[in-house]
Parts: sequence; C-alpha cells; structure tokens
Amino acid sequence: MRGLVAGWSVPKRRSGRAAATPAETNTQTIKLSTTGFNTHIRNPQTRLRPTYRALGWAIAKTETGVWPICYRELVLPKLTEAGELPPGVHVADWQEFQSRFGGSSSRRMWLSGRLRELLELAAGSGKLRRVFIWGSFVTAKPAPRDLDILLIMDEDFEVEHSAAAAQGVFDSARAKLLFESDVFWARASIGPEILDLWLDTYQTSRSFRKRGIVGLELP
Amino acid sequence: MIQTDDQMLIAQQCIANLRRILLEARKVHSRKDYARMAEPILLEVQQREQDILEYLSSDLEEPVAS
Repeated sequence: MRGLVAGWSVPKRRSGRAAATPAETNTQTIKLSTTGFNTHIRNPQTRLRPTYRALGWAIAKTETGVWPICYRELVLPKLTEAGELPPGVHVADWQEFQSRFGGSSSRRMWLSGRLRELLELAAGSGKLRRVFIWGSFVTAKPAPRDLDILLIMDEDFEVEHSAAAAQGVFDSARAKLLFESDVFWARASIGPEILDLWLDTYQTSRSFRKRGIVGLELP
Repeated sequence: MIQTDDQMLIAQQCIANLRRILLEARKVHSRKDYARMAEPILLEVQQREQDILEYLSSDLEEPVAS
C-alpha cells in the first residue's frame, strides 16, 4: 500500500492567516500509517518541494497539541525534456522511488538492489536520519552509471560503532566497489544551512544544468 | 567540461560551497570520521579544480573579424 505522508500547512496562524507554504512555517510532517502517527519537524530551510496527487485532511495529536493536517500521496514530478528531475528536492517514499526509477532496465534493477542493500546496512545502525539521491539514477537514462547518495546520520553516529559490514558504506572506496555508489555522508549536526548548501551544490550537474534531487522518505 | 566563462564561475562557486561544507564538517566529526566523510568531497573538489585549470589553460577562440 502506498504510504500517505502528511504535507504542509500545519496551520500555525500568523497574523490571523494560515501559513501557505513550507517556507513560512515550521512544517510538521506526520506519517500516517496503520500503527499511528510518526512525527518529526522539518526545518523550513530545506526547501522541500512537495508534489501532490491526492489531498485530504485529518486531525493529528502531537506533543504540541491537536493539528488539522493536509496529507498527500507522494508523487515525483515529470522529468524535464533533458530527462532529469526539475530543480529542487523531491520527496518520495521507497515504493514511489522504486516504481519510478528502479525497474525499467536490468541495469536499474541491479543498481536498485545495491541501493536497497546499502540503505539496509546504513539503517542497521539505527542512526540513519535522511537519504538523498541524485545523478544519473534519477534521470531517464536506461543504464545509469552509478548511484550518488547522501546519507545524513544522527549526531552521535560513529562509523566504528557500526557493524563491520555497514562500515563499508561509509568508506567511499569500498562503497564504490561494493555498491557502485558515490556515497557522501555526514552527521546531522552539520546543520540545516550546510545541508541546504550541499543539496544546492549537487543540483548543478557536471554539465552545468540544474537538476532535481530525490529525498527518500525512510520507513 | 567547462566551455564558457559563466560555467567556470559556477564551478568555482561549487568548489567554494564544498570547501565550506568541509570546514563545517571538521567541527562535528571525529578525526577518523572526518577523514572518511571528506574523501569523496575532496575528490570532487579536485576534479572540479582540474576542470577549471583545463579551461583556463585552453587556447582562446579566434576573435571574430568585424
């Protein structure tokens, strides 16, 4: 079942009106599932661009009170004529990501398997917080060269405290060999401003076109 | 590959951004982890600097006669 993830417009009123965009408010993302609500706060500086297919409203109880929330079904935008995602950070869950980029060729299926294994190892530490993917895998190319990934880990993450197999994910040379991936990673304590700078930098391709990045929702 | 002055300026800005990321990362990672996480970024900086050097050392185009 496709996951529903709450979108923007937690109506924290300012000057008597509901905030209209993520940039105007501390956006609260609430994952709706059969097991209940899972909430976290997004920093508005991350400039996430939600894309909607289905909208609805629900009431969510959080630590800070009861909120009406607008929820959305995650949908990645169409590729541009150049076969790339439009500029921005586009949020998708695994199912959406997989159906869009993971299965249209044997090369993509293989890389997708590598990505899944890499993410399982990284998440095995319990400290994987956010995942971003860019490069040829999130384009129309039938045979992407490799995977380009940024992993944001918890602030107290230490590679040496990870399982031996997982340590390969955080060693760029081993990650390249094992997963055909350029793995970038950092602790979340680099801060939202630096993360924004990082994502902005990698939205410029080596051919100097602005292209989009996928922000993968973690289960 | 850089083909215009504007592209070279963009490449320079990217390098500046990556250097800033590294400066911040030095503050929040242990020495070993910084070495690990910085490696692919340093490689990227090196590649982009190489692109700039190649562009700056390439022949100028012949001016178009008016």
